[in-house]
Amino acid sequence: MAVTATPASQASEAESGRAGIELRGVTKRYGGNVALREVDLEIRDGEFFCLLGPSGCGKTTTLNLIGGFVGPTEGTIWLRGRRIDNLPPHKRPVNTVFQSYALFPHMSVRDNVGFGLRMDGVKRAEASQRVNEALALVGLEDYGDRTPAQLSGGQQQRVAVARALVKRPAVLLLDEPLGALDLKLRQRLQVELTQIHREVGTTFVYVTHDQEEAMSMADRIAVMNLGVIEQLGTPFEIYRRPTSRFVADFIGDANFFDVNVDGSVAVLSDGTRVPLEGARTSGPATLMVRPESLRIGDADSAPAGAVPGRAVKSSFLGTRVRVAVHTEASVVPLMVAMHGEAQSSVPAEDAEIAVWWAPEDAIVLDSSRGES
Amino acid sequence: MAADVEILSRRGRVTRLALAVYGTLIYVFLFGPIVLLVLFSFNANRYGTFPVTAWTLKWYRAAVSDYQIHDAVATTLKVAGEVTAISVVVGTTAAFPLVRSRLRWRDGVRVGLVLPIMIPGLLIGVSLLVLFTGPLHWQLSPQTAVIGQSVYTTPFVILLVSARLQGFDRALERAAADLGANAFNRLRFVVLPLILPAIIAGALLAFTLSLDEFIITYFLIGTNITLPIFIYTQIKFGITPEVNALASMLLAASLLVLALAFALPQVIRASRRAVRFGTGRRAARITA
Amino acid sequence: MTDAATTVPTAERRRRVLPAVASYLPFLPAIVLLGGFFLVPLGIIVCYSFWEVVDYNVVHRWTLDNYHYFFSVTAYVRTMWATLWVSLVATGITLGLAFPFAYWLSRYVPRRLRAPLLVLAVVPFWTSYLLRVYSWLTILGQKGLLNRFLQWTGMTHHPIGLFLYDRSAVILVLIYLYFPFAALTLYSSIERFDWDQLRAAMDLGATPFGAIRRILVPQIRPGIVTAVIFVFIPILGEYLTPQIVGGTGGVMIGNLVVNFFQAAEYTRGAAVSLLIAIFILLMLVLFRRSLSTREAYGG
Repeated sequence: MAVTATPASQASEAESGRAGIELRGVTKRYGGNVALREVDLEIRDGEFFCLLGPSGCGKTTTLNLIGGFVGPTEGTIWLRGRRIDNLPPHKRPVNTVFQSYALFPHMSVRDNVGFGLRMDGVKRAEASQRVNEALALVGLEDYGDRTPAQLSGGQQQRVAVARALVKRPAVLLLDEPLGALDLKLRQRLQVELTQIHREVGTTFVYVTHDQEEAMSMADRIAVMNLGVIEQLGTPFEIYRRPTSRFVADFIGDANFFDVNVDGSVAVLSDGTRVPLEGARTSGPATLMVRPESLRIGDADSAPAGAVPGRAVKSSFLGTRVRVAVHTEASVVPLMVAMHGEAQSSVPAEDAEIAVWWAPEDAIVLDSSRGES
Repeated sequence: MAADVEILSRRGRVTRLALAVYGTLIYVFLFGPIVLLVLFSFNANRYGTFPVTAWTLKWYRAAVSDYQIHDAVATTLKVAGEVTAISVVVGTTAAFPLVRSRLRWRDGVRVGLVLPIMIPGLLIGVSLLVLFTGPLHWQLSPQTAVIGQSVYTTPFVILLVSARLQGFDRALERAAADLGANAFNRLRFVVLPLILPAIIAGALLAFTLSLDEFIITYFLIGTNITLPIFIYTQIKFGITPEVNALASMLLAASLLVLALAFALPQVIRASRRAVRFGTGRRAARITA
Repeated sequence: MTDAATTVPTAERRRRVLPAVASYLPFLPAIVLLGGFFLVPLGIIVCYSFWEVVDYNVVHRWTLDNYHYFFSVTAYVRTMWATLWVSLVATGITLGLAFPFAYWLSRYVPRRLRAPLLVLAVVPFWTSYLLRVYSWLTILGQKGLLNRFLQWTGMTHHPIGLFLYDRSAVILVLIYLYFPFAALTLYSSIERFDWDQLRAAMDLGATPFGAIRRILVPQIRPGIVTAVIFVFIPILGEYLTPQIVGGTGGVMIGNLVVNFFQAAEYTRGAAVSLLIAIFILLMLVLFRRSLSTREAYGG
């Protein structure tokens, strides 16, 4: 798996031109701790890419490797076909929006935004022009003379974005840039950031541990865990077709069953046989069904393969009703989400009911993977 | 703290009053001798009568026109200037690796670097005297005194600057690197401007400490005389009003430098902001 | 762990030939200054104390004569014990006076007045040490201001002993010199104390003094130890105060050092200096666990 600079990988260099960023067999160790384990990753030019995962999963390390703040222990990093892992941060066409924003407290907003251009020796007139454009892009035209301390959190965040974008980087790295803001402001800035992305067309690599944030913004998401990429795909793929229990659990809510696969049928622990889509290799596995894919009804009128159970509690959550159902097939109660018209048929507490789902909504996961 | 209940109770009020009286007495104790010293420098009577019956400035005139004092002032300032320069350069450079390098014995090194503050000046003075006159065979001069004083003042600069560096957000440097600044530019545009207040405070502190230093200088300066040594030799002959006047002026000078040490960093920050705000406005008007 | 990436340009650093040496290079001036002109001379003093002087020349012959001599003269030994006694008493009283002051400042003074009042108390510490000793010269003594004032008001007819130039005057001035430092150190540790704990202690039946003794004092112990050490040590090496206000009865060990050196008896002076250094070392080792240089100098 570890791809180092062998002749074979040298040959693939030419065709890697379309890829924005490429990590090839990258491992990063801090002393004895492995932060990143033989990661291969390709980020396309111009896409909004999210690195998603719990803290300690290696997402920030990945970002720091691309930004040049740490060097890889093994492997190489490429930007548009050019190897960059041996360049210091100030020589990479990559800019970063830091988690703490890292605005220079002794400089005005204008000087902060203009700092990178000054370092590049851009002429005053042009620099001033570009700083104005960058400030306009983030809607802070009138705040150039303030110091960072005079700005709100959201404004500081925008300055950090403007400061990084003014250099027209090939890639913009964002390290949990909205983490310090409250929920309302965060949602507004999520929209703004996607608009800015569309406007400038730069590749965005966005690190977050907030799955909703990743789902709402990203073109593609890499879900990371324990230093490896668990799954890479569009938000839809990752939600609908998770490949591991970790991903299914981390993204959205999920119900899990320990099952025994027998051809195109899964046998639940209470003996219920549920049909699967397509044939599988036989053996023990985990079955995952999203709460909104579950249907509830009377035990009598239920289709074949329904799981008998008892409604334990229902909670009204505004846009949906969540019903907890106790079954013999699962140790923890199943979570059923009922939307729209279905809400009128919420079962009474302690009612004997049945739960079922469409075969295509049940995902079979290899039970050995993703356990952490 | 406002809801400190038993402070508001009756016994609390008595305690509060007693402690306030005590606190006031402490301030009287701390400032009484200094105030009296200054007061007596204006006393017309040479033998320091009490209460003071007539006031005069003649002791100040006498002190200001004394050529011996002129010499002492010149030497003192020269020594203080050199000591300040040495301690700022040595102290600031040492503070960086102290805070930033992956030092295995960081605490040990820190204690080692500030040891000269903990050791009585007397020991620094005599041990350097032995070094200079013994193995090195150096002539005692203001320069040897400068070395001795620097040993004592540099740790203060190290402490001040390293404290400031400790609180320094390394992300700022990463951001600067990310924006294209090389190591030199990161130091020049980001790190130095932000630790400048500590460097200035350190410089002023080193300057005042040098101005007042007695014991190390006493051993190391040879036949030269600084103000504290001049005052000391005068005291041996008894209290004279000229020395009172001189002492008052020296006190005023150290207080002034101290006030600067406290106020200047803030002033710098404020003025920097004001200047930038001004130019920014002008620029805005031109574009508009 | 993902945030462990704190060093700036690892890639850049890696290209340097000797990265470790380069990062320690800024220590060099400090090593030259503090090593060459602080540690080396202290080492020489140690050697000197075991050498002897023949015809005003130091001879490199190892001997314990300097120590034998010091301990054979009763006056010297007595001065040594007196110095320890003075240091102990002065340190004790200084802290005893500073504690209620720091307590008052951190608990009873309105928040906005605290910083200015603290600065006011500490300012004398940063002004001339010599002048602060000197300022007592006109106050103490048989004909000093204090005695003249007391006689003027008719409170006494004879000069009061406390205010003469002797050992008690030395202690008084030492307290005056080191009070600000003790107050600052104690204040900075009391300031962080959560006063609700005292209230809780009293709520559980402790007396006010009991609460302070059992709850407050144990928690500010590092501050107390720091104050004790940093008041005690400089007093051990005190020269100027006994010289100026001590008269003939107030001589301390520091004065002996100076006398030996002025008489060109370098090796004997070195031996006495080493005695002081040993006392200091003992203090530091004794209290090294609770010692905190940060506390003392805000570093």
